[in-house]
Amino acid sequence: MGDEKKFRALLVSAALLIACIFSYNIFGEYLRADIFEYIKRRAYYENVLKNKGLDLREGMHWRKKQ
Amino acid sequence: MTRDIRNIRTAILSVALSAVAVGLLFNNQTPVIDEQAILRELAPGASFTQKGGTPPHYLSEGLVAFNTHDISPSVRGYAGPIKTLVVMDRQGRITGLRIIDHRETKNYVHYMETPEYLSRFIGRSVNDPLEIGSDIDGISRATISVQALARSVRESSVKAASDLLGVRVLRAEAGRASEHAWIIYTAYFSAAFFCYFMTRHNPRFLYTRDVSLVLGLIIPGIYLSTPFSMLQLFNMVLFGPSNSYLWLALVISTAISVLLAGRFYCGWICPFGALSELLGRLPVRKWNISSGSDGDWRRLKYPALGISIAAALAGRRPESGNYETYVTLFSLSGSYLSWGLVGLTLIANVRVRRFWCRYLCPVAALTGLLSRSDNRYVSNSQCPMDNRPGPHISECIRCNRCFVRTERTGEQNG
Amino acid sequence: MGDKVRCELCPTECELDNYQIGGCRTRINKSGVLYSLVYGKPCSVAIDPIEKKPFYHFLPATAAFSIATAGCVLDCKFCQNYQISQARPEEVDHKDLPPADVVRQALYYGCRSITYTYTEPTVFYEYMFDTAKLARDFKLKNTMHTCGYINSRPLRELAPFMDAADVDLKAFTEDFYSRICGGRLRPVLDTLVELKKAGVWIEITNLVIPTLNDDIKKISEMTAWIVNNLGRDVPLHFSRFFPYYKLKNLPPTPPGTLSDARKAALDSGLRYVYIGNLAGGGQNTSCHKCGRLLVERSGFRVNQNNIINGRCGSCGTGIPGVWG
Repeated sequence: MGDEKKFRALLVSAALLIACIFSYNIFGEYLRADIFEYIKRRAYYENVLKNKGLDLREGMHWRKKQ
Repeated sequence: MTRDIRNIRTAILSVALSAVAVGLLFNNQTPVIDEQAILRELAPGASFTQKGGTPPHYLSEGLVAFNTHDISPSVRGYAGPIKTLVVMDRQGRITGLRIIDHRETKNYVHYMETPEYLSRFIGRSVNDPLEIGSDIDGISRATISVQALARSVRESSVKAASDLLGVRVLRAEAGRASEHAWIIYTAYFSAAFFCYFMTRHNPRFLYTRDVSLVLGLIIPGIYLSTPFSMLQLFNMVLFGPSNSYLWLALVISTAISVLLAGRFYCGWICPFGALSELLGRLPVRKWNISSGSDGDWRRLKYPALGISIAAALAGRRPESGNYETYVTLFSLSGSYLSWGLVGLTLIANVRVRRFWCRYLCPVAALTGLLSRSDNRYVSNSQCPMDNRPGPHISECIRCNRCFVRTERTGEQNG
Repeated sequence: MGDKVRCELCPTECELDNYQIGGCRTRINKSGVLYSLVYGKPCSVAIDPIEKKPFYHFLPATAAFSIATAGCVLDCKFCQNYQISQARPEEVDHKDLPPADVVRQALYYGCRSITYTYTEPTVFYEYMFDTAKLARDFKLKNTMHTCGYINSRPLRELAPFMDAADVDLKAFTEDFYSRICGGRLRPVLDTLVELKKAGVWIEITNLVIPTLNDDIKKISEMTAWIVNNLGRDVPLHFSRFFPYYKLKNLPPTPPGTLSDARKAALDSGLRYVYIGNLAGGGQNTSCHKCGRLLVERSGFRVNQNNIINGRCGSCGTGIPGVWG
């Protein structure tokens, strides 16, 4: 790879990083709470909970009934 | 080139103005929570001023009040910040507080919100531990929440007490910015500025810039942890000037130097610039970059600055627009992304001189746009910015290595 | 990303995002439907004397088939069973024991009752509910040892199948419930009143912890509340605290404190006040009328029982409780 190409790659990645930082600054609070947490919970369910021999039994509700 | 820069200047200015307008129109509604009303309950009889200053606060006779979230926005509980209104007396003693907003699980933290629990903070001073398990009780099933509460109250109180009240705080978090910080900074800045003019006079003094770079890294960088940054300007535009002397020293000295000497700050004071330049001096071959693409990429910092300004001012939240590597590096706090950028831009200096300063830095962009032209900076092979011959003044950091002395001083100095 | 679900079982009322597990660790929202993770999966199964629960006025000297799953709605810093109550169901060994098998085994081992105990039975509500319903059909009684931290609607639905409940009234201040247990006192008091209204036999256990809830004035307030709202016949057990879990820094309760508490409770008008977790006095039942010794206990053993058809063997006064 020529210098010029490497230089361009470096700048593009820095620019991308900055773009990510902006989006994180602005939306991070929501992202972290929603998407990341969801992925974590889902992964825990799929990788850990599912394989522990626990069944899912529908829970009861009371407000609906009244 | 000059016309381009003028256009960019106009563009940035209009972005800033419209961002402020947007911010005032859409994001400046009085918050759903009427903080003044709560303050009236927390401190009956006291009448507080409007919120303002850096850090944002309310003032009254003998009392100061603030929202912890305005000062320590990064402290998070289980599900986000726990915004608390704190009233403090002039000695840094908490006289009242109330949690005004949070997103924690209601039924876990119900007790944390009661006056009964919060009363444990009252009467404590910024020099008390203010720590769960030490002088504040924990709450079962709400551990993370109460820890976040205590930490946000502690950190914001310490900052408010030291910055607003000048109370001497005997704890590490108070930062190293002591009451004499502004004197140290002003002395250093003036000395550097003096040396700058000396080197313009006589190249024999060029070594003083190296001294200044090292001191820049040490004083505003490591010791004070407050390099000049866009955050300070954003804060001023949004919340008015701070009454901290160090803040005044930073902003005023930079403003004066921009008027008199363009990007002097970048070339002599900036700790990140110093670090970049010193890394660039490592004996490693530099990449060969064509002057065309170099010139084009240098424009990248202007849209970055524009977006930064728009994000900070339109959202009325300074941190939204912050991507500055020196803020992350010297405050030692930032997201993984910010640290990634710090790492990348530092390593890049090995192959590209002053990588950050040339292509990305918002302060470089801003001070560059405001530099008065001076055609005695012609650039040469020693240029720390690798400027091509006859650069536009916005790219010059005034190292004075290429400064053409004959025009002004004649031959009398030799 | 799916709907939120609010769990209505206990007063915490967790609002769960998709795939989020509740504070009790046993209930999960999966794609907008709330599921119990512990149905038919007890982590503890044992046959205990009923006195261990403690029930002193309920089928004395009979065996109780006891089950529990992992999880709890509170997080008491003194929990004696924290290894299972504060564990996730997936962290502890569990058995496959559907309601029918619980009933079958209880009958096989000659138990008179099934007890939902050790952790907080509220967290395995559906399991308890189905088991209790089935047990009724086979003339087994149902009892639970609960902290009472349950919403009134689920409680009302469960009560018809519950014969007796031992409710931990851990203290009589909101401060204690909030700081030490992570809950509230009010719902527990509501539960006690609700159980009484539904005709469930109640006994109350109060763990006396030095410095935290051993104020005799507060204890008197509590016993006065019991007398006024639940009546004089509710047996009250003062239990001795031992340093455990997160409260290892406190000493065991001095025996003197327990007898002071017992005296205060008797002064308030309660007729049956016991001391638990302590070898020595305060374990026997005497007739409130004639004062004659009715049930003599040592440890969880019953040495003699002079209650005949629910009446004092000597004066014939009806003794409150469930005796046959």
